[in-house]
Amino acid sequence: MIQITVNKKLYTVDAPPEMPLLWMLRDVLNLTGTKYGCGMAQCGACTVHLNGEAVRSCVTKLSRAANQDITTIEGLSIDNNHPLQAAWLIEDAPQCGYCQSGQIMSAAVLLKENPNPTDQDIDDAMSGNICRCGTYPRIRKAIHTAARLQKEGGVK
Amino acid sequence: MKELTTVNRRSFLKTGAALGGGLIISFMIPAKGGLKKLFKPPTPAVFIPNAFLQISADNKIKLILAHVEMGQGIWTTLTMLLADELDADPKSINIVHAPPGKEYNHTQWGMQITGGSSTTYSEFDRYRKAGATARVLLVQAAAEHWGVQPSACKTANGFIINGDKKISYGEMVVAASTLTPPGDVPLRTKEQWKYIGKGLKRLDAPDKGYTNGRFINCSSCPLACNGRHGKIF
Repeated sequence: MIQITVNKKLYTVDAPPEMPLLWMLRDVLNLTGTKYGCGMAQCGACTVHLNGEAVRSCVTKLSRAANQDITTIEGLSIDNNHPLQAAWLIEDAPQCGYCQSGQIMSAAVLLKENPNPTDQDIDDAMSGNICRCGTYPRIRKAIHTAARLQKEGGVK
Repeated sequence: MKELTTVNRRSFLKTGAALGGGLIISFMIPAKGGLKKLFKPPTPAVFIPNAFLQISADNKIKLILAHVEMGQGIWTTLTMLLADELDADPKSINIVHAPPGKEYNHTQWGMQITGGSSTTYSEFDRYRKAGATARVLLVQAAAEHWGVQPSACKTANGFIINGDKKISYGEMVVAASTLTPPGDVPLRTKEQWKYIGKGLKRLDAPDKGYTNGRFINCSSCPLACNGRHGKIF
């Protein structure tokens, strides 16, 4: 049995310690907002927060996540009102949508550590999240918009 | 039976122009059953003028999307087509993917298929007619209700209006369900379009930016479902 806190809720999970965190989130807890992309930490679709840091859940073993705090897109905000989620709609960022929860989770760590990122800061921080639709320009714009919203405090 | 056809992206980029351009992904599902088989008996009362539209007595409008949204934006564009003729706010319309059914066959290719950048142009008349048919029937029902000519009534954003009288589409669904759909309906002119050709933010963006965006591999499926990009909301 492994104990794990996901989105501020404590779970006791009967799963092998080598199981990828992503499998536990999607198949055991049914939190399907986090997506399975490549399974090799190459695409960023499965990005979640482990103690506030962005990790690729497809290559993070349950043993590493045990007794730690995990946040997924479902727990990023109450009522989907994180500045990034608001900005994503303002800038109409998603296309097919598959990579977007991973993009938002990576961007959330960036904005926490750097509330006023430059284009270069964004490109550097987001380079691990790929988008086959090519929504990068809108994602970059949305992150700038989220930074502004966060500063103005209009959206919590 | 389901068959998925894809082409290698790079060879597609090289040969795409010769093929006529567009994304080539197709789902082929055998057609069977009529509308009655496709949908459960409705509660509350639901007006089903055609395979693409349902309006319930509580004023909920549902659009049935005959093609698969994969990021190309048809979730929004087909809704704009229907909304313009129905006279309803696209943002108020609940959208669902169609079940398998011959009613949803491609208007030109004769099978239920999404591809070749063909959705919006091939559905341009069908989704407008779907909305227009419903509007004509709702107006006729309201006109009979008031004892006036249909031509004396107009519509605005989910309501039928005659002078100072106003009634919602939902209130007319039961009466409209008893009427015979007209064979042909007049479509609005370009000058009358409110949504077509204008900018509208993607109607599926909230689901994709939040957590409700469900894809094929997010569903519980007893079989091995490996498709990734078809949205099933």
